[in-house]
Amino acid sequence: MPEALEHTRPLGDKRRAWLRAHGDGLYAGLRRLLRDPFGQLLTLGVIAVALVLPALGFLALDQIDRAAVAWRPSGDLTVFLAAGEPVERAIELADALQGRPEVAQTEVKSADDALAELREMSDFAEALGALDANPMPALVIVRLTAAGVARLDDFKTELAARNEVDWVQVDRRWLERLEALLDLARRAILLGAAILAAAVLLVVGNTIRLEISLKREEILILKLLGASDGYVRRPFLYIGAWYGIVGGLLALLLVHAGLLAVQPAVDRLALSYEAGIVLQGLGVRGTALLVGYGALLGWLGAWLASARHLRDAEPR
Amino acid sequence: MSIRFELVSKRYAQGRDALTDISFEIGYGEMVYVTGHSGAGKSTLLKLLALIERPSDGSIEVFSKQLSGIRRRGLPAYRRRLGLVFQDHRLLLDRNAFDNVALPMRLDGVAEAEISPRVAQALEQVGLGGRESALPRELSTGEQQRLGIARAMVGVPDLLLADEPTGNLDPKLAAEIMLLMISLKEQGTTVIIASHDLPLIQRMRKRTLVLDGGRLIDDFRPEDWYAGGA
Repeated sequence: MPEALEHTRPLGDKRRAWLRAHGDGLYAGLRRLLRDPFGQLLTLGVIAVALVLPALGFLALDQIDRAAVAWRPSGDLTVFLAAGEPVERAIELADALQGRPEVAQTEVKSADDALAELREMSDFAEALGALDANPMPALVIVRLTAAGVARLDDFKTELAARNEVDWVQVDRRWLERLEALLDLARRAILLGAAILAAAVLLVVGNTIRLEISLKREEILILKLLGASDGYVRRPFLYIGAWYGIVGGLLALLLVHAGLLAVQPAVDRLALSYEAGIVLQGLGVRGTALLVGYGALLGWLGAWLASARHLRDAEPR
Repeated sequence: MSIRFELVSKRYAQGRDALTDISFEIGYGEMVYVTGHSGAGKSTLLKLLALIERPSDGSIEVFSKQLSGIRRRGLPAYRRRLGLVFQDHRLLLDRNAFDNVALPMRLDGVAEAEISPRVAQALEQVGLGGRESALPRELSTGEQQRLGIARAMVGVPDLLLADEPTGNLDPKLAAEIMLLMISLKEQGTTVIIASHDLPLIQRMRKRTLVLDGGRLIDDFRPEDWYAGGA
């Protein structure tokens, strides 16, 4: 009798029913959004703005990171030749390095040039004048390309291993300053992104709360018929995810519009540095991340709201 | 026993006693009417069985399980074993007749290939064959009632609870619906019908619990009907 009537459906049927329920939820969520897209503009606009600001911030950091390599004021590596090595060896070394992908530019300084520069830059001019012989070796100042900066340590080790080289000094100051500035900016953007993400959660949550109140009667009927919390919640989660996806696509449009808007100003700036800079868009990975992040935020906002408000909707 | 009520009372927050010390047992596959005047406690009794309400005192056992042991998480699985017919139909207004009737089976994970013929058959049985795509608002009150009945019966539930299922139907259709419920009972479903339609109850000659002011004042058995009782 009924104990034996415990419903044990085949696993395949349950899986198909589960997939169907998800398909229905996905479609119903999209239909809900399309039914009144202009009515949802405020929510979509908030999501888009919340996504576009951090996206532009990270894009700007990326551009600065790349541009800084081209615009930095001094060399990256100073290669000191062994004592007694003639300046010709320094010139040979500079010529050899010039063809390497890691190297943007080289500059040779003879021992005399180096000593003169040291006299100008330090307080030891008198002491240096008292020396019988020039203690400075010839040297090569190397400016690296972005590829060179990326493998700075390996490149330094490689140069230091050469017979004619005594030691290699890395000028890390600009790198460290830049890195510190970029790190600060990165943290500020992450903090801003977190605050904006919280705003998205609140906006989507409020929209879903309204959806739930509009669908209250339907929810009560579903619960009476034995719908699980997951089944009842599913369409709302998909609505939230769709908000995030459409908001993400709007943000994508805004990012590209923003890049187009600032490109002329960047061109003028680049001209003054004699460097051609083309602003890079988000690319495929960035686009997927932006839209996926939007979907995740929308889904999470919907989940938080539905967990809170569906619990209160019980048939009486 | 399919259902056992033991000294069950239900007191609402306002202090009104809806049911007082109700005790009875119903066997598997039995069909039972619950009757009484408005406010007698018929709907409350069904709500307790559907776990829409919890008793204030006493215990209720359904299919050898104490309902007090079913917590929030267990409610969906329990309710999927029930078929519910409501006085106010409780249909999903934005879904057509087919989807309304198919809903309990979809919730239960039944394959679509199985759902389609069973829904068509259920709609046919309640006289709504060919109205699969009609929305509830396109149906008359009586048709909506029949749609609700088809939804409750389509999954052949273990327990059917019907609150005034024939309230909006003409006598001929009401009798046909009752015959459908009898056929469901014959498939093993325990059927409990709350109704104040005494002429219909008398015609069906089934066991009848009579409530008055929240108390069970009589329990007519089929044999009593045939002996000329009530």
